[in-house]
Amino acid sequence: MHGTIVNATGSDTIRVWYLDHGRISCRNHRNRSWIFVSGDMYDLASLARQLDESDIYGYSFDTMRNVHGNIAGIRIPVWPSGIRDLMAIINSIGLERKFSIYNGDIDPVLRFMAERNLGFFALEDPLDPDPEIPVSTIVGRSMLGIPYDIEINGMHFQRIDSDAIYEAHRAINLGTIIVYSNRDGFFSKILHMILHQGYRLPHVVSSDGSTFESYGQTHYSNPRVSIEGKICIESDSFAYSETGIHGLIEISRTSGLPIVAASRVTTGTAVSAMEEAYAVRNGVLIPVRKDDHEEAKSAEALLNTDSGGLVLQPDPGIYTDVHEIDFSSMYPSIMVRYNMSPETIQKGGGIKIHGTPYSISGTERGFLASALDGLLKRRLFYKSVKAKSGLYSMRDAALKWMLLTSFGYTGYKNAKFGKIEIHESITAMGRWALAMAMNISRVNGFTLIHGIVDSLWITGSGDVRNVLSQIQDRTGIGMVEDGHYRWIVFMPANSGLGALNRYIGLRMDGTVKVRGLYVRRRDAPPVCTKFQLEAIEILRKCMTPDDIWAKRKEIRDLESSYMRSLRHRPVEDFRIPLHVTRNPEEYAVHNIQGMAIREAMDRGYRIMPGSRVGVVVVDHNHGIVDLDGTHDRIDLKFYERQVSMAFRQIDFIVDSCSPHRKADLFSFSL
Amino acid sequence: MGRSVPTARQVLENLAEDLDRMASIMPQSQAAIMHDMVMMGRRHSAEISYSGVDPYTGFLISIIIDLYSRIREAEQ
Repeated sequence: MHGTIVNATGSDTIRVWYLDHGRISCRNHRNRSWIFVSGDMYDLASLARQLDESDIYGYSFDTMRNVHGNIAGIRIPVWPSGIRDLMAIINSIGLERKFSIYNGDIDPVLRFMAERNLGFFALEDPLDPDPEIPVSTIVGRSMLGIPYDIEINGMHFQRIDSDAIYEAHRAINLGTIIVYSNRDGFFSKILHMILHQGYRLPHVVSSDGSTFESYGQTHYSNPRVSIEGKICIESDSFAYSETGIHGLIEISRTSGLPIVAASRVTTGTAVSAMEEAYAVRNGVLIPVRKDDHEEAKSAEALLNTDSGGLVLQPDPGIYTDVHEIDFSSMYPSIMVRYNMSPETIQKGGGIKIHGTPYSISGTERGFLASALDGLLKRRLFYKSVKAKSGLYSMRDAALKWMLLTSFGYTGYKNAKFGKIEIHESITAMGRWALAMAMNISRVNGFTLIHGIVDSLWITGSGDVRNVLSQIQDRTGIGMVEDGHYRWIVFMPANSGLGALNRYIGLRMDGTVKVRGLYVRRRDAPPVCTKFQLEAIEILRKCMTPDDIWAKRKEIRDLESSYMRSLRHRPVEDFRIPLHVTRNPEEYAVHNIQGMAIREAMDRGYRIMPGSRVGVVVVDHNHGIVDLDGTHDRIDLKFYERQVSMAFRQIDFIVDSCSPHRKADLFSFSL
Repeated sequence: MGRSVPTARQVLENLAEDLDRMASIMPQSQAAIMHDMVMMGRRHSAEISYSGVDPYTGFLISIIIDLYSRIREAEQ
């Protein structure tokens, strides 16, 4: 035993990093691998003959299993670096259709670790802390590509002078994990400055940034930096920014991916890696090209099955004594509880899936259900202890993201163990479970206010614990009370009907939950956010709708004060954080994003699609915006409109408490 | 994204938009009634979506239910 494994790199030779008593040591391991080829026996015999003639590849006939059962084929030993060429040869011999290749595109490190039953950051007890590994954080901001301030291990430098560069160099030397921000190439430029000042660094490799689309949104991946002998984590990466270093370590631990890879991939890919590691450990072959395509179905069946989650529509207004009850990890729980996996789904027999033509075979445990079982139990465990420590809370957040994507991945065309019928069955069971929960709530004397996929908002004087217990008994899925509100306001959409995800509520413990208001929007000017935060602070002291109504003058005064002081506020209160989604030539409409891009181009700087930029609107009508503080004025009329919209949301909360306005409770029945 | 067919809710929203357009050239008194009826239909989109019933039929039935409720309330 050489200590805790914290990283591994390589392909034909895997370099494993061990952490022992605060010191990192590395060991190299040869990594011979293999692929498996199945197909018609005649074609396999032909392939074997050609492999014989090549005199390069050895092979053996073998029987192995994939998720659907045993298959006969040829197992060919090969070094990981040669797998791609070998697969190209086999596909060429098989005319791209005769052979199915397995275990040909697994990450070499992941496979090495899984085959030997090794794991990153292994814990003896789930309550154990993470190993102590030196972390250095170097983040900062730049304006139009020029770094202008820096924070090194929490120490802020307003200018990037020789002291800051000295500290940055020292932090890199002392840290094993380097968390860096490379938005606008910030960290690359800092490294350049370090070298320019005569300091020495280990070998540094940088890659270009790239624009990509995920879930219909354009994102920009900042240029990546690798420093020899260091574990470099980008602070803007989704996993790090959402779950911190401990969450990232948990993703590495559960997915089997090295921490650097875990920080760079989406959580969906991390789940896929976890499933692949599970398959490798259990001797289940992983197809290079999945063959579980969507089955033909009628238009009516398609309409009925491709429905997503059940979402109710609240009547806008205020409600009191409201319970928010949630299914715990609803979709993953359904997958595990109802044994959902590509090989268990069938038509007829077994357990019927409500509202679909499918059923699930109950005879054998499905692969996907087994693979997710451990992850689900682990998440539910950390959820139960997360209040005890920030560490467990971060682990819980990481696992929550992985579980969320584990469901989405079942419908993704490239998911190795996904199948669209599974995806449809999971959502169908989700709709059934929520409908069941609604009926049980109603029977127990509660009135339904709102519901979204796995959550219900109910009000009434019944026994909530009894309701939760009955729902769990009937659906087999755990349900918990996520909040008990003194009051909650559901906001209207433009249509006048209730918005599905826009509300604010005061919990019994005095905390406020807000969704969809300006204060939560990432593209809101700070002045709007600040106003709403102050207004919410006033509302937080109100125990009843009457209390809120009594505070209407205070709210109106706050609004007037904001409106009056608008022209005197610091310019940074008006800098709108924008998400640029297109190239300059694609902006046909006269909007702020387009203005920002044009302004940057005029200054010789290109804003990449998917990146974020802070913009102050100087003159909306003439398309003048400020990117770097060169203008000291704002478009007052534009910002008056913006804050007015933020006022309107707060006004609705107050007005809904008027004694002259009675909330019409939403009544929903199935 | 990734959908091969529109959801019942999307079908209903499209229908509501078409009916709003229709109302835009009606006399004001009738347009108000039309708007009211469209809201009745839209209020029940969750039930329609859940049931699997044809969205147009569900929309019509939702309007009838709301009208019936109002008649009953008026009677009481």
